[in-house]
Amino acid sequence: MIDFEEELKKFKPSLEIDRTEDAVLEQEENDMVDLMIELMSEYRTNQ
Amino acid sequence: MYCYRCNGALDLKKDSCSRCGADVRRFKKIVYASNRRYNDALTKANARNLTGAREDLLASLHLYKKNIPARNLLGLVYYALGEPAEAMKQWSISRDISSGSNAAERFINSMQKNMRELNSENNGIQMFNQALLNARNGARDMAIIQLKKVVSVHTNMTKAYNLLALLYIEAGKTDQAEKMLLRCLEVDRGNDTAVRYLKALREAEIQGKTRNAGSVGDEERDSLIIPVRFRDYGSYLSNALYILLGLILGILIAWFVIVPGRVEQRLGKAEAEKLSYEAEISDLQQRLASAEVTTAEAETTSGEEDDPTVKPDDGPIERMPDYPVNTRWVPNQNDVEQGVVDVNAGRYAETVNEIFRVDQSNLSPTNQMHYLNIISLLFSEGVYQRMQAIAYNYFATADYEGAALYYDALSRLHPEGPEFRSKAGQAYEATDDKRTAANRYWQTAVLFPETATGRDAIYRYVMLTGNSDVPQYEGEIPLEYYRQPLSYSDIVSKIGGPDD
Repeated sequence: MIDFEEELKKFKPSLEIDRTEDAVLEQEENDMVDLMIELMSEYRTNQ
Repeated sequence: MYCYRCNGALDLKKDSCSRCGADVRRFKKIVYASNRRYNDALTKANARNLTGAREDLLASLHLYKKNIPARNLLGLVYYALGEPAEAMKQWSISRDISSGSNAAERFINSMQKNMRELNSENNGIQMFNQALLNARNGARDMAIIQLKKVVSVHTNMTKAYNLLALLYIEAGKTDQAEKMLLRCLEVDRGNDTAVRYLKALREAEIQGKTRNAGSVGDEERDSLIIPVRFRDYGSYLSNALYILLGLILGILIAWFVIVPGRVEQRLGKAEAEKLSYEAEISDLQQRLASAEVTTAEAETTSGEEDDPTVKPDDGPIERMPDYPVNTRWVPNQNDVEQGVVDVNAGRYAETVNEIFRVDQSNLSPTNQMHYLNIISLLFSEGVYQRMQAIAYNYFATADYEGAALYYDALSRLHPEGPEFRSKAGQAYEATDDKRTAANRYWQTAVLFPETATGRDAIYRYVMLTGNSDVPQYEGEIPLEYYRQPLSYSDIVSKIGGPDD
């Protein structure tokens, strides 16, 4: 059975077009490559 | 592929960067993993499993965020899911990472060129957000109306389908909910939310719990209450037409309702002003008539003690005969116009007989102007000479009353000439009006003492009154009093005149 209130919470407001530029500027995305570089840097420091 | 450290081009066969010497083995593995997820996403996208493709692309970008094909495809997937702003966001990031021959540049330009569609998309997003807010606040009927509008225009907005289906399910309208979910799955076959809702509906249907007897009635009621007529957001032409019709209607209302009222109001004001002016004119005419009566009574009761030119010991002098009271003259435009007609017809004598008895102070400014114009006309037409001839004839035929009248009139017309006053005195003397005769001699002697006529007037005054000398006027007589015809009334008020 569907729990209406719980399901409703899963819906998020859509991004509006005039907010796109702000959303791009607020974007802070780290990927696996960043993680690898960070680990390698730590490894070198420890050595 | 480019080195993560120096951004130099990598040789795929080597494990290190030929430019900076960095070990790129792990980096290459990460990129390959990212590319694999991209390939999976591409397969799913081709199968219209947009949600699955989106998940793969997000995973691909978590591995390697500079995977340009993956980011561009993610933008396309978002666009296909009815999320144009998210698509723009991904393409903008992609363009920032690689500004070269990037397909994202073409996508962005394509969207920005079609501003009307972009605005329509944005309106749909705003309405979805508002509907979500209403649903959370309990205004579910309003949310359903808004979402129905959204999905009628933006047929690929899967979030709207799902939310609308959820609201229908909550309202017990399972058929409509199922319909929305199926339409959502037509857009996105892998939409897990829609699949889950549909599965729950089917299970409930089998169990016979969700469908009840009133559901059909609810559906009918819904179709009755909510008008299934949606307006396109871009229908600017119809909006302009409505505004134009409103303007025309407003102008017609103003023309047929407001303007007649204003006109009626102005006419009422004009009528009231007219009545007040008529009352004022009537009042002034009454006051004028009573003033004339009072003046006539004062003249009959006033004695010779008011005349400064006659000595108290002169003995009884007969009362000066009054001019006939000009009761016919009413200072209005018609009489003046009649005077003009008379002059133009050559009836100068008739005109003069009427006009020269008029006191200018009783005339309106307009009539005063006409009065002076008529006098000027009379001069120009030779009435002056004609009056002189008439006065002479009256005098010669011993009609001294007529002669006195005309000579007095001539002395008004020509106040600079002493002979008319003197002749008037002689005429009055001949009618045995000694008081008036003495007055005219005195005027001549005082006003024109240097002329032969003035000296003759002194002689006549002395002979008539028996006084040894002419009484002098108290104070200096301003020249303009008798040099300027228009100031003659001032002379009369100072030293007396024919009508005193």
